Amino acid sequence: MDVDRKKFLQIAGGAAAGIIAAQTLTSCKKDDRVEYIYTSMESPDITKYDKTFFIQVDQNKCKGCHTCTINCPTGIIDSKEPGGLHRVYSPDGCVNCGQCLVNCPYGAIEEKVSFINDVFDAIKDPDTIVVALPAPAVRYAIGEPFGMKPGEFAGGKMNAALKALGFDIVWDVEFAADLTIMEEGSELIARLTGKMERPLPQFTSCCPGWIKYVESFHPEIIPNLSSCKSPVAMMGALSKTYGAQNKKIDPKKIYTVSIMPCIAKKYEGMRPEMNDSGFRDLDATINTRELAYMIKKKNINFYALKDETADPLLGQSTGAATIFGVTGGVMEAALRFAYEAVSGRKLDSVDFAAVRGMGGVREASVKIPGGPEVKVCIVSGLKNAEPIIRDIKKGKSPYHFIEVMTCPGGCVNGGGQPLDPEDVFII
Amino acid sequence: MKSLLTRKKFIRTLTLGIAAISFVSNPVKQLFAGLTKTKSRTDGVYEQDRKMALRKSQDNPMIKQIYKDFLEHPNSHKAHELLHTEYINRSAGVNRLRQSGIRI
Repeated sequence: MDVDRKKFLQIAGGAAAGIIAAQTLTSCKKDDRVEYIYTSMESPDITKYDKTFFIQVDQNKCKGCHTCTINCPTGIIDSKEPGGLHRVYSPDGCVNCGQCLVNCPYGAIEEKVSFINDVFDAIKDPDTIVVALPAPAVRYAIGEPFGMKPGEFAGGKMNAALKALGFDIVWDVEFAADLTIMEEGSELIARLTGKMERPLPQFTSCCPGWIKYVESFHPEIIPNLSSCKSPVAMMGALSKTYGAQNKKIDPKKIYTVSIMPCIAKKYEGMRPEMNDSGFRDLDATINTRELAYMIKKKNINFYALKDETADPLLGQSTGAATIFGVTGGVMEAALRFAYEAVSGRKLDSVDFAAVRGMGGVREASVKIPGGPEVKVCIVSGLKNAEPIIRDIKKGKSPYHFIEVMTCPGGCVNGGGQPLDPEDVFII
Repeated sequence: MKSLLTRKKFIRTLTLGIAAISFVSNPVKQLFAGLTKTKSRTDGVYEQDRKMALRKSQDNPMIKQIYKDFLEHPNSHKAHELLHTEYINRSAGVNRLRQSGIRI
């Protein structure tokens, strides 16, 4: 058959129109997704926190491309045969980081549990005091679903949106990040000076994916983990004790909602040991995508909101807290504290450029006047921690303090952060 | 002399080329989009850090307040009760999976 110019253009035009129509149809279906990621609205059973799949592959959408396995730090997401359908085999080996989900080119990986309905119910109940606990990295991404540029600071608007949604109190997890530095930094100094009989190097303990990874794959190095809870877990316990006492609220009536750039935090909030306040420290955990979904559901015009600050008592924070959201941030914040605490001198410049960057493993050494030379290491991307753990088990590790973040780049690239619609190739 | 590239051939190659690129570009674009997005968010974080009036945790007035009124000092007994935790050995589950032949 001979195709002339006219026929060719007709066919090409028809095909293009067909593709556009198909894309419009699929984009209409996006409504039941939470920011392009299919999220089951089922509330999790917190008693089965260890048996819950937080992430699973939709077998109808998987194309067997293996991208998830490449991005998985443990290899628990895989297929039986090459090119076959992939799935998460068991909740046991999964650290719930969600890097498979954010990297899936077909949008085939789903979130299996969500507290969205529980949070809406708590807000509706007039007797419940609903407390929002937003993480540092959320405010650098929550603007994106509303047309703001990636990295544009939206902290003020985020606080305003939380109030508009009906949260009674906004207490900032950045405050708890500062508190973490006081506790974790003091713990490091105690280990360095031999006042505490715990081994060196000390690992950070903010990242829930990292914690579950150590507990599951390397329990031998549990003593190296800082005993500090993550900032939001501290915040939950403080909200129902110190916060409740000061605000003269019955802690029974407080419902804490942890708002995280993360899927693994859902697991952390459900841990049975998170009940030091005498109640569940964290009643619900949602991520940045789910918060954006809630704001859209309530038809709040995010971009038009006036900036608001977090509520007093547990609301103020410093630069050291806001950098918790990036790889190397916890390390830099800890150094800003340890330097002054050990030397007794004021820091001239608080910028520790040596610990910044995007590399998977970065090391630096900081001389503290009147104290030791502290050798630090920053790991971004859980797979990169393996050689360092091997050295520790052999007793050869040169470091004193190591920060590990599961997601490459840190929490700003967390598994719960918004994605670009064009990143999720929906078929 | 026969022309190497006729009009028809040119259009055909071009169309096939565009089709191929549009199929392959998505994962590639996504890879770079992810990286640049993480980079811009990171830049945003450091920019905000520079703008903050206070940049060290120990200077936070609310931190000073909570230690004065409630927690006493870092790593105090009270702090250990509320802010510190213990970890659980969960290797049994992973070992079971390994025995069943899953490579993790």
